[in-house]
Amino acid sequence: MKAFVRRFMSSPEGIAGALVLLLLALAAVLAPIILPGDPAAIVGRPLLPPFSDASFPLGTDQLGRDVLTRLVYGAQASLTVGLSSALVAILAGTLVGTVAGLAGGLVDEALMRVVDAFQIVPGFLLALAFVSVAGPSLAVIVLAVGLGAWTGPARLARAEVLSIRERDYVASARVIGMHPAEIAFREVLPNALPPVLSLVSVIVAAAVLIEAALSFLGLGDPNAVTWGGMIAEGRNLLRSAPFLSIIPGLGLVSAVVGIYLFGEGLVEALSIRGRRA
Amino acid sequence: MSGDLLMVEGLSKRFAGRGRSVRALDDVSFSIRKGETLGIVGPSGSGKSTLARVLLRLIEPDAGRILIDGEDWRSLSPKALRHRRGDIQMVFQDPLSAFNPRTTIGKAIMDPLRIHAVGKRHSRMAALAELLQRVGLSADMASRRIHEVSGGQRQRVALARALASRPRLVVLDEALSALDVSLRGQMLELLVRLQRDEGISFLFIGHDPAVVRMISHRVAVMDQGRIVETGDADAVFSDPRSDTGKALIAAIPTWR
Ligand SMILES: Nc1ncnc2c1ncn2[C@@H]1O[C@H](COP(=O)(O)OP(=O)(O)OP(=O)(O)O)[C@@H](O)[C@H]1O
Ligand SMILES: [Mg+2]
Repeated sequence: MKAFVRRFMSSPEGIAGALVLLLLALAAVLAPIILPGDPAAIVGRPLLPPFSDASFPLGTDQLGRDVLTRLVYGAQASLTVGLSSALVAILAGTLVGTVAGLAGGLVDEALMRVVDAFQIVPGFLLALAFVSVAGPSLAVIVLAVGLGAWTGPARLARAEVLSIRERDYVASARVIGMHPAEIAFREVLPNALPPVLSLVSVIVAAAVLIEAALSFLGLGDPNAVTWGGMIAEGRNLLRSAPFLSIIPGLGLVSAVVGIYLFGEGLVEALSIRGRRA
Repeated sequence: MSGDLLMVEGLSKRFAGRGRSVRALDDVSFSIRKGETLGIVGPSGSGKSTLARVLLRLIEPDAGRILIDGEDWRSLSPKALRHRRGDIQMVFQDPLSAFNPRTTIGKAIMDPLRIHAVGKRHSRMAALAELLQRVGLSADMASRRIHEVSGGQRQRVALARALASRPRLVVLDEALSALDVSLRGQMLELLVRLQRDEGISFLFIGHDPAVVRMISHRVAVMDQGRIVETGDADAVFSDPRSDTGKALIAAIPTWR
């Protein structure tokens, strides 16, 4: 663990990413405390530009809502959806890949055809279709984004499992009479996981972007303030008040870059590079 | 009651792959008595490891019977097999690859104790300590991982794990081949002592005739999937009948 921290600390990308994420996470978690205002409340004159009024540091939008408050709540929505859907994608992908790799034969064939089918459709279209059908709610969006991202982990997990199941320690587990389910979950899965985890940064970053794109199209969680939604609302005023779109846009870019860098640092520190699918 | 613990009849296994097929086992028959060690020698690729894996039902043979104490080992259902697996254990050649890199030595040895419900839950710690002591290791080894101990200790750990379920037959596939001469000697002594005290049978696969001779009562010589010669260890090694046997003996350095 110490060695892990030391390795992480020696990677500049990792540290930069960690700082950005720390800031965003703090903002997201502390949002209700530092900015007790309601992000949906009309609190001032509309369209105050940033830095012009001390009580609205980032200005107000066309309805007179505080942009800073909305930005911070947007971080909350972005990170929540990004992290949960990446978790869904990795859990589902790893499970499917492990089952396919262990079962082999027809089960493997069938599961991998499903993976192929999902992989042909771009993740965003898939998410779009799913939300259009199921209706926008937080759970649906998380599932939808996860649905577009689980194939990578599935493929990687399967490849890993195919190699691990030939190892002597799996044979040895069979020899002592271990139940196949226990072999799968205790011997195979934990050893197949590290390379799959190297995909986390890419998946979380992609998930944040997909969530933003859905919100931009009006398919986000209707009860949440989101960056994508803010950008969409600012679009009509792009000429007169570009800051309404630029500020959440900057939030989005910094989150995605931060997540990506942080993930790179983690992969480096776990020394699991070089085995990406 | 013949005293045979293991009886094998007509085992055959063919590996098919890319156009040509290999006859890894070709009508193999032999038996092992209680408390006896059967040595298996033979050139590389003669089917020794395949034989071990078939006996442990890690791979299914194409034909043949395996009787353990008169019971048909191959007709056991998967569930029944799991319950009976404790009877036959194996020590792999490379202990580093035969242990899950993520678990501790203690847990690896606990697994068979738990699976085969040897002793009560609270007495298993004691059983673990006793197993470690039996193979000449100290109890504090339990908290380490397999890559954290020396090569000689690793193979002792592997033996302890194999012994945990109180097996009646232990298959050792080149289990001592990676050890240096003095460690190998210590392990051989340990095996002989275990056999004397507990009447365990061994199937000892090796490529060094000198080592196999030291521990085996009887020896089978394999070549191209067949057993080409069997007999008392001393007889086979001092006066081999088969060409394969002669070639193996001729390969022993003569300066002894
Ligand atoms: N899984 C497999 N698929 C295809 N062929 C195999 C497989 N396992 C073994 N063989 C072949 O079967 C034959 C016997 O192999 P086996 O490993 O049993 O030999 P061995 O006597 O243990 O050799 P060594 O002394 O080198 O360990 C060899 O020709 C080998 O290439
Ligand atoms: Mg072999």
